[in-house]
Amino acid sequence: MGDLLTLFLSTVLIDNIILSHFLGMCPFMGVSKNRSSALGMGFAVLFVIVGASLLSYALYYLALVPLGLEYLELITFILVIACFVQFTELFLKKFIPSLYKSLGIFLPLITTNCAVLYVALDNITNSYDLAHTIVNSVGVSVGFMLILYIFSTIRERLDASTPLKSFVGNPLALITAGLMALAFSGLAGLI
Amino acid sequence: MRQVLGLLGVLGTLGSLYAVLYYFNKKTPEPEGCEEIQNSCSGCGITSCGRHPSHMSTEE
Repeated sequence: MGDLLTLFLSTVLIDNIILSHFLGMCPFMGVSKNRSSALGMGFAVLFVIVGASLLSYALYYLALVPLGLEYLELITFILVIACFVQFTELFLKKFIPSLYKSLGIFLPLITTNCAVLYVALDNITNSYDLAHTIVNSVGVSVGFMLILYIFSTIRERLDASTPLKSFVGNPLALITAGLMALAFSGLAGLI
Repeated sequence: MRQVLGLLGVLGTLGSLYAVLYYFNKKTPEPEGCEEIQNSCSGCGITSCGRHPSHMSTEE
């Protein structure tokens, strides 16, 4: 149990996928202009990362390993993620229109989010069992959502400020992201 | 032989599944009140997204 808690805290705060691994930078920069978009994207990523990781995990151990096709993990995981995103969009559109209304616009963005693929591959590379796979997937997603939300609140305040002309927009956002990465690296001694 | 068949089976199944899901996803009408979702996207930094306005002009 302590092992799982350590893994969760580590993936959320210390080994954060955005600030330590620099993955998922596209939505980090692109969908962080306001809080509601950041939260919507965060929840959509949480859902897709957990679902796609579990499907990839099952496919790897139930099909690829018995057939001796472990080298196909990359291409199969990409296909699994693409299928899962399509299915999620279809399911929400058909059965939960209210959720589709709030998340629908973010779903196609997730197919191109390399963080999703990283989690699926990371679970296999580290030979995690099912419990560790779930905790790792949830932890990475929560870490992603947390950083995206914090960053969006900062960007909202930055939009209201008047920085130097050359710093307006992405330069100031990237400097802010760098400072956030420095701040979070201070949590490295926590575990 | 078993590996080749397995390879074709896994990739074929996933590829076909994606094609079928994509087809049905496109075919399913937008729910009431969501018709404007596509048009409401003004585009963000992710230009590879299918909803980015830069792709709309080429599709139409």
